[in-house]
Amino acid sequence: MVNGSPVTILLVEDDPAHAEIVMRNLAAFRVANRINHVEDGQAALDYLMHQGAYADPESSPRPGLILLDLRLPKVDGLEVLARIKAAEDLKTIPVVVLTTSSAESDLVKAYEHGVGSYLVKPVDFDKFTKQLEAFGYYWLAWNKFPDEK
Amino acid sequence: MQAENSVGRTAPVPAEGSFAELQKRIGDLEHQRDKLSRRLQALTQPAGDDASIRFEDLFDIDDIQAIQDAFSDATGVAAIITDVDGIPITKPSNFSALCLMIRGTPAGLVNCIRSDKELGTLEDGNGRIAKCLSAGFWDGGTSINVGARPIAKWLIGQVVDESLAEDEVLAYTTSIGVDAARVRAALPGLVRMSKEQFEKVHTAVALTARQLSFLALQIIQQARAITERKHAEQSIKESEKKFRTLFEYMTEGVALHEMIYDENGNGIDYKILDVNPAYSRHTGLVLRPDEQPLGRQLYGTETPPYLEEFGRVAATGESFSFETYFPPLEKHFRIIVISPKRGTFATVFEDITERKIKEEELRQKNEELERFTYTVSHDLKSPLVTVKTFLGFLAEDMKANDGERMDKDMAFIHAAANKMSHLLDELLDLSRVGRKMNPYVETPLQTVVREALDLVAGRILERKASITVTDAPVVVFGDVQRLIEVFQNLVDNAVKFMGTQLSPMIEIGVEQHNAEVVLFIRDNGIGIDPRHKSKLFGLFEKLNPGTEGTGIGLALAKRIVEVHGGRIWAESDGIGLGTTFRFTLAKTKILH
Repeated sequence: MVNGSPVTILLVEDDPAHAEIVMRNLAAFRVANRINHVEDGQAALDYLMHQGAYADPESSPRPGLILLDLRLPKVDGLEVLARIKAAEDLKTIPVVVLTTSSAESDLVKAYEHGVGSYLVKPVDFDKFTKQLEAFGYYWLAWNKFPDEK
Repeated sequence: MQAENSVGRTAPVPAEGSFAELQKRIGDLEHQRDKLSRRLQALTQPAGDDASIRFEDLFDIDDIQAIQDAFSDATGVAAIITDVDGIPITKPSNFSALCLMIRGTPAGLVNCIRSDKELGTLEDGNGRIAKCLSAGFWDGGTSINVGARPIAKWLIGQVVDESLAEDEVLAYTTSIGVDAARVRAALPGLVRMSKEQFEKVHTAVALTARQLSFLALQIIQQARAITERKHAEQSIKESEKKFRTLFEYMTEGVALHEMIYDENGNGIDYKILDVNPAYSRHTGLVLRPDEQPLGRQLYGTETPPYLEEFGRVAATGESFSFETYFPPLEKHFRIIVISPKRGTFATVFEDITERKIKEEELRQKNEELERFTYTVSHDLKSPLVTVKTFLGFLAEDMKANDGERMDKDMAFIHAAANKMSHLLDELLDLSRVGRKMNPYVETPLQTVVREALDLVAGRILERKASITVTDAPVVVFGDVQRLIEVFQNLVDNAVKFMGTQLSPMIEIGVEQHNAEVVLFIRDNGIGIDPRHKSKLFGLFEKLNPGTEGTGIGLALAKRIVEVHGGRIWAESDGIGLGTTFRFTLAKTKILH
């Protein structure tokens, strides 16, 4: 079912409850040891650029996919997205936005900045569960990623 | 004089003769005045409406009388000018004694007037001659017209030729009651000429009458032209007055200008020709009446303001309006530029500074509101997602009877519900700032700070923070409860972000920056990464994801400070180097 080497995920989510939801729903895809969780925008950038606490590339491997919340402490999610897409060595990493915001301006800006997909967190257990299940199948099972250097 | 002897008379009585003379003079003057006003009235009738114009209105009767007399003297024929109904306008010239006798009888007069009336009635352009309907003498008549309408008749005649039957004349005069002996005596006095000769005389009269008709038309046309010009002048004067009044009293500033061109025809400046009082009110610039400065001089700018726009209007004549901020006067204006004549232009402008400021305030408020609703909807939705999802997990975990997971689910639900309740409370509090305020009073700074410290005493104690407060005699002015909230939030914030500091210290003090009193709260905590300073006071913004709190505290402090006419900012040399929050409040004083 899974083609190529298993993909690693960077989860950028400041709400521990929402991070837990994502983890639980993706558990079926056996990604638990391949998800790296950071809690704010600055940490996400530091992780990706191997700065500060994330200087060691061994413990902070380059992710194959980034799951990004928009409203984040320190550096806003849209800013993180823009910085990723502006960085020569990061721009090929697909970014999926997962947020509670369905504001048109956020949608437009996210796509302008080259987001791969935009998902709105539903206020409904079944829907949220199904959404993350579908996300898992699509991105973790079927989607083909470029080879990591 | 009699008057000298009479008692009680205070004014001399003029002599009989001079009194009559005076009355006559006055009468003359009145007559002339009436005549003039009638003439003017008649002559200023709208074109085409000549029905009321009379011969006397057009000509001076004395002049006409002189012409008529001279004509009669030269030709010997009798003459008179009557109106169209045969009523005399001039005095008769050279009337024969016989005709006067006939006119002296009632029947004769009726016949004579009827004859006169008929004779002037035109058959062709020149009138005609005919035997009179009274005594059968040769008469002729010709009409004087204004355009096609007769206004008078020039009658000549009382002429006899060789065919005169004296017996018929006698029979007629006897029948109307004139004494035959007197008629016989008067008969030789009649003017005698041949019919041909009389026709020639009549032709001369007809030509003269035609000249008078011509003249009458010219007089009317001239009078009309003069009147029209006078009307036009009058209305120009009135409209000038109207516009001058408008110019003086209108609320918009008006300035009239003349472009100044270089030898290549390029506009290089403009001269201010005239300005209205509102101009001076809006700009604060007062011009002497004889002063016509150049734009560059008046506004003290390197290039005359809006030269390009003004020059274009002066060249094309196409009016143009725009809104602009005018730096020399630090005002916003709406300017309408019009060009009444090539090379000149007028500006009409209003000061819209207040409106612009209000618009900007409104724009900021709208933006703030938009950000607010966006944030609120997001931040309230987040815990809701948590509650709903973990309720789902909880149901599953109950089925699976997984007690450990159930505890975890419940904890998440609990935390999210608490967060929502906190958010709602604090939002309500925030929304009340500026709406529901207590009366502003002057309070010593130390009183406000003490109350704030009491409210966060638990946390201070827990973190073992030492706090120093200035003893400078500072008095703050405002809603005391709200000011306490500001200090409470700032101290709370300082204690919360002490990090690993082993000896946490907080200093509350005051500084004088020029005329401004600045309050500050300085800590030796974790400091602020300068990159994230802009998000510090944002609603629901949390720089540190792990810490408790909703992210409203600093937004609330900022809002309260702003409502009190002050501003707030944070300073930090970086991470680990502590933070200083500084703020001002309107009317804060240091007593000396």
